[in-house]
Amino acid sequence: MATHTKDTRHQLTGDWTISGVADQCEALSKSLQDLKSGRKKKIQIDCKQINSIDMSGLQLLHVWMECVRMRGVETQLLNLPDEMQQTIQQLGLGQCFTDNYPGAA
Amino acid sequence: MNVDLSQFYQVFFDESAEHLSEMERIFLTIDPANPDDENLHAVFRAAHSIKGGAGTFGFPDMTVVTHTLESLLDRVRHHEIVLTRQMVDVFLQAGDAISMQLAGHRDGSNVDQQVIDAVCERLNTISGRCAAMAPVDPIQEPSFKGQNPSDEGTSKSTCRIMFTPPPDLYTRMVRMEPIFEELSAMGDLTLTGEIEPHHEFHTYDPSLCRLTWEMTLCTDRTLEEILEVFMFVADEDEIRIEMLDHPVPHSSEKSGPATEPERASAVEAISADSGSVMGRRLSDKNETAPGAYGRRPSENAETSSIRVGVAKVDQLINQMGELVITQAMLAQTAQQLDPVLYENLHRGLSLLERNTRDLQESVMSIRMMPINFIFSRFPRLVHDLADKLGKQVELKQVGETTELDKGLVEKLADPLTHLVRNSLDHGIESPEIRIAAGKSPCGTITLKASQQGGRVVVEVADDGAGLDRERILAKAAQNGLPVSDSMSDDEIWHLIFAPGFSTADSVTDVSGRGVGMDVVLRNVNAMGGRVAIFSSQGKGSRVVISLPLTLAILDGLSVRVGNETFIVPLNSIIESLQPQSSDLNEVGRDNTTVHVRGEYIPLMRLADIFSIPEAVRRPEEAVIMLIDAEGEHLALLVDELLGQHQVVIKSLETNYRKVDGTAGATILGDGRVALILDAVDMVRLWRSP
Repeated sequence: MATHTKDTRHQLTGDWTISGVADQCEALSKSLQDLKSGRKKKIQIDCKQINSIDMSGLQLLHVWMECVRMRGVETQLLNLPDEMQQTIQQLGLGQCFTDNYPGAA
Repeated sequence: MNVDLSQFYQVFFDESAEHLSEMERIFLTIDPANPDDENLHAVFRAAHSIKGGAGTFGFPDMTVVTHTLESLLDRVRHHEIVLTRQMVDVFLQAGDAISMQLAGHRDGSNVDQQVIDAVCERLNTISGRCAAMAPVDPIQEPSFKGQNPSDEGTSKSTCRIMFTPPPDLYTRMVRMEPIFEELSAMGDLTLTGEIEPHHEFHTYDPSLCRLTWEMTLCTDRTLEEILEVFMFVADEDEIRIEMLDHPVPHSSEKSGPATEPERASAVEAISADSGSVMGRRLSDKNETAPGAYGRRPSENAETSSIRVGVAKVDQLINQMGELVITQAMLAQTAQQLDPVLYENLHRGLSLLERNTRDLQESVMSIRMMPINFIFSRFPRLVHDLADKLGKQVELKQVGETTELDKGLVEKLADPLTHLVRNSLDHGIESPEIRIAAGKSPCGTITLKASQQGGRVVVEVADDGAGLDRERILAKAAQNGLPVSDSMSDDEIWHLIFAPGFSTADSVTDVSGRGVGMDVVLRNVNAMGGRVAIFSSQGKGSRVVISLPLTLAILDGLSVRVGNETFIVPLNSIIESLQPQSSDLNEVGRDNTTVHVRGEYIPLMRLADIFSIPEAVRRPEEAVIMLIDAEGEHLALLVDELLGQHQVVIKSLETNYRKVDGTAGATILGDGRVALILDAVDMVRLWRSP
């Protein structure tokens, strides 16, 4: 599994590059279904165990977070690896993640 | 989706090697005083392509040198700085450095970082020097540059760039980070990416790009230069550039705000103008179109190719060989069948023979490579060595398109390198000595390749001092070799093939250690080839390497001698005739000549050479074949001519052992093995005591 949910913390792991986004997408889709049945107001998305991420991974993460928010659940990013932050900066995607992770701006 | 980027590495390595080779070729032929614009664009494109690929595939070390090189080349091609011979030398060194890095990634070989750093420093020195010297002439600037008071006198403009990439951006393995980095290096960049929302997650395809970017760039670079950054990722409808503070897109003479159509037309004009000279242009809508991805029109035919492993080609050639043998067996069997009763079968077999021949030619051509593959390395070698030795040398190449088997091409590289280095070091004299000898101060080394009589002949000739007979004799005597003054020139020249033989007064890092010529001979012999030396003191030397077409399926004439069948390569045969007694002359014991149209030609009895007892002894009752042995005409006596065949050469060395006088063997239609004669080696064998 590429994602693990424990209480309100959602842990993202593994490969978030174009090589791995299809697997991640499948796992995230399942976690969205789980959200429907839950009564969470906010989830924390822990990125500490993301091994690598590129623009396709960032796009997936953003789209998924938007879908989570559409379900009335707030999102908050935690523990972004330096490399991930750097990629966000280099791609000018800071504002896409600012609301969720102030350090990314 | 699991995409392993490493599967594309080989393509990147191959293409980069081709780009580097092309760059080197151009730098070696370019006239710094009057460089051809198309060549300047081509070297820029090559550097840019390598940099782009290195960035995409994650080889950042390669992008450092290529970026610096590319920037300089860009200024050279826009005539912002003047090209000099010294610059060309540094550019060549930069190419070497990139090659080393490429080899490091490809083969895991060592990369000397000191060399890389030194090259970068030299490039930066040129860059700095040229920046200080570059004339400021806004009229000459081919850009939309304008004066901006806030830029302390520099001509900067601000533009807004909107980039909507194609949906397949991710699957094309494009990385945008290096592109934004490059833009950032051009000036002040503000970058904002947007992700298109998608609220139905179950229909979301993560492989499709839903990103768009808007950038503001304040730079002194031209619009064309900005567009070039997107060369490999954008089509014209995917990128839009608007001028913000200086609305005159492409003319420094024009003042006042440009209208919207003017801006649009400027972008179009640049796209259209540059379409023929850059890499993949924004106008390359059709990626397979001529000129797309930087293809030059003249290269179109060559670039529409695929890369296939050599092992696959070899397998195809082996299977083709078996097919030829099978076809020959069928043809032989069919000869015993009545041509009237089996007319359709004979017609079909005739068609099969023709198709097999066509197919065989096509298959063989796959493995054949032009010898230019080796020759192309020598301009650089000669350029560098001549500089090092303080000599002036012109390299001439003749017959670069001569094709030979890929395996031979690879093995021929080292011997040829030895010969060219020898010619430069020992053959060509210094300009002073040449002038004193009444020669031009600039010596000439000629590399020549041709196909002669079923063999490929490669020559390295120079117009230098030639071999010194007395000196070689003295050195050979000193080395304990058996020599005498009565030895022929040919025998003396062959002394230089003795291991460790060198007449050089001093050992240099170019040559003189006595290793080289023996290695040349050994390598060439290992390929089934021969080496001959021709030299004239004061006029120059010529080393001739003759190689067999080892893997070829050759056209041959089968002949019978006693109960044996031999194949004589068709290319070696001049004519066949049945001599009259009056044409034959006994010259001493066991020596006969044949009188053919005023020429007395020595007669070789194939039966004697291969000790075949049952052969016809009287020439009048047999057939004489006039053969060409590298220019020498001889008459070969055989019992009977059997017929013309296509034969597959099978290596005797691999399957049995080397048999003197032959170029290999083949399997006949009846399953028997026939030796394929090698005219020159057979003559040598016949003459040997």
